[in-house]
Amino acid sequence: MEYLAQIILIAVGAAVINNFVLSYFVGICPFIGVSRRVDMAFGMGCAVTFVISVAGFLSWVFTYYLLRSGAPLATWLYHLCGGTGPSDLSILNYIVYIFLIAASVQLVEMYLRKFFPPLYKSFGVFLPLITTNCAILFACLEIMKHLSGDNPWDLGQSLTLAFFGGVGFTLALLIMAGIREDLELCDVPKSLRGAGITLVIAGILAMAFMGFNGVNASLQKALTPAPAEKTQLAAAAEKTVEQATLPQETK
Amino acid sequence: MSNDGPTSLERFINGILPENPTYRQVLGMCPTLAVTATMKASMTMAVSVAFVMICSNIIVSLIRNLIKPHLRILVFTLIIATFVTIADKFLAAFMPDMSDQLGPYIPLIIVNCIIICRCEVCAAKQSLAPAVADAVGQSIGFMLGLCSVATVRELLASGSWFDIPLFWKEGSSTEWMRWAILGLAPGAFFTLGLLMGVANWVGAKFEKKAA
Amino acid sequence: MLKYFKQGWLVIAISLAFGAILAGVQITLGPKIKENQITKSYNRIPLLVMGRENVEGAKIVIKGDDVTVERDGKAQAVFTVVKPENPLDYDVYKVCQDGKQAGWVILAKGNGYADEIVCLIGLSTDLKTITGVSVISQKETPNLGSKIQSPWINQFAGKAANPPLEVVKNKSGAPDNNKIDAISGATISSDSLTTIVNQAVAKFAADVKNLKFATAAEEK
Repeated sequence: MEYLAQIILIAVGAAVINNFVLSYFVGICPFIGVSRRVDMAFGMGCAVTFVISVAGFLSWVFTYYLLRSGAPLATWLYHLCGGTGPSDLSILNYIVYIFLIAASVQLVEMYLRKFFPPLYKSFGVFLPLITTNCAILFACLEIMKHLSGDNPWDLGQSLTLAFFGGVGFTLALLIMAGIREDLELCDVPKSLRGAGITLVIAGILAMAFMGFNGVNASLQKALTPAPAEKTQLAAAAEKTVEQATLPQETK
Repeated sequence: MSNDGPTSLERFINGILPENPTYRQVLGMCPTLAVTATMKASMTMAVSVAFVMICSNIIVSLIRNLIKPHLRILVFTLIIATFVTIADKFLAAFMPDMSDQLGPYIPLIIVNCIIICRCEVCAAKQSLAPAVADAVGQSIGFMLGLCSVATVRELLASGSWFDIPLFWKEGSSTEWMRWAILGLAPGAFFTLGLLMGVANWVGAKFEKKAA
Repeated sequence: MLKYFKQGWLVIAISLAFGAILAGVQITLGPKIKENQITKSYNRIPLLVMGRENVEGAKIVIKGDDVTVERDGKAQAVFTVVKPENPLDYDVYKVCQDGKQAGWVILAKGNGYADEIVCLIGLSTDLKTITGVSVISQKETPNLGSKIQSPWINQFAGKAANPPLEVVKNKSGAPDNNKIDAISGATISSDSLTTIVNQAVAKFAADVKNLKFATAAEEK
């Protein structure tokens, strides 16, 4: 039950409260470039979500078993070669992540080319460009941050962060695309056309999303039982256990 | 074969204003929005990007004849990622407070479009001197972009510049509610968007004068 | 196979070369980075145990597990930090001075208004008084919630650990020994920090019985 509460908190946090685009400023380049039409924005958002989930999964596996200090597989190999103590390959973190992301993008490209050719054609050059999307590397870095130190995250939590981060990215992209479609009919000053007005609108969107600040504190309170209740329940449970065992002891 | 294209001086001057990465090419938006809340962070980021860009341009330009065309992005990324790791560890060892403040944005230099773009457009095609000049010019341009946004944000949001309080000292007679929104996410977007509008307007005026 | 090698030899060569460079960087800078992590916490131990006024303006020198407070080149106090032999999932430091225990310092983490707040809490040896709280990292609203890192936090020093601290809103100066004045305009941040402190103190009171320390350090 507590695990589910944690998953919900991570999901809502990544998608809405700490939206990747509007509060962490990652994925801005496609945000400005691709958000002109809603259908293109939705396609890009789905592709990024797919890639971010695959990349998140791969980076968790590599970091947990090979890269972090004290990783099981790497330490075993290290001891096999005669070393002592935990292994620490975390210096190779960034290189491994960027290669995993490039591999994930290749995977998605091959998958789309085989099963959805028209979609693949409509993406054109944007699909390989997802490799340089900051949002995906940022998701990998967040997973790395939570895998170091105490209470390392397990696969479910990391995948939730990655997937819902992509969902949040898609959400922001869709909202921006909807607004920009209407903006085409407006009279924007010449110097602000293009990137300028998009950024100003993104600022207003960021203000709106700032309203979600503090939701995770209340969500946490709502999802975890209060300590007083817990001890009452625990005390009641203890009492029943005592009463169940007493007759046998007096025998 | 190796020196067709703009000369070193042209590359250098182009990078500063005419092909400014922030205002003209609209690249590298992520750090421009994320670290420009204070001038100190912006300068640290600008120097890190300069280090990575200059080093990777040097290496790519030296081995440009050996890279197979279909593997070039891979090679560029590998080189850039190595230098970013070096920069990150260096910051963590010698400037730990700045490293904590900049957080994940230093490793995000790896996917900064400016660096890969410069490797692709200039370093892979020209010899050492133009490549270095290009890297230095683009770094100065990026620094200008970052510092312009950071100056506006830090002055209006906390009344200081490089952490030196300029006006709106707490308790002084000119104390005024600081525009805290500019230090937060929306302020970054607003400042960059409006400054981009100003840059476009100034650029259009210069073009009209030249025409 | 040879064809692939011909295509990829450059990538392999670069990977090996850069791998060696990175290994060198790790060997030279790795220890310094670890040292910086430890210094972040150890730097605050004197002010948590001795009180902020006594540490104001002094220089703190850290050597291994010894934290020295220096004023004008002379050592005013030397603390030895002992870590438990069976560590818990949060950092606990037993702070000793001249062979006797001077207090406890524990690391506490929790959710603030915007993101996670990490702080160090100083407790007296008998766990009855909070000797100080110091925020290590926070991402609260600048100029509002971020005031938890300003002198506002000094009011935690000297409060009793039991009953749990309460946050009150009026600026009455909080004469009661378990009331904390909220920051005006940042109630949730003040609330979150106080909750983190209360929960950490209660948890530590339960966990401290299970901790084992090497007795040699105390007899130094």
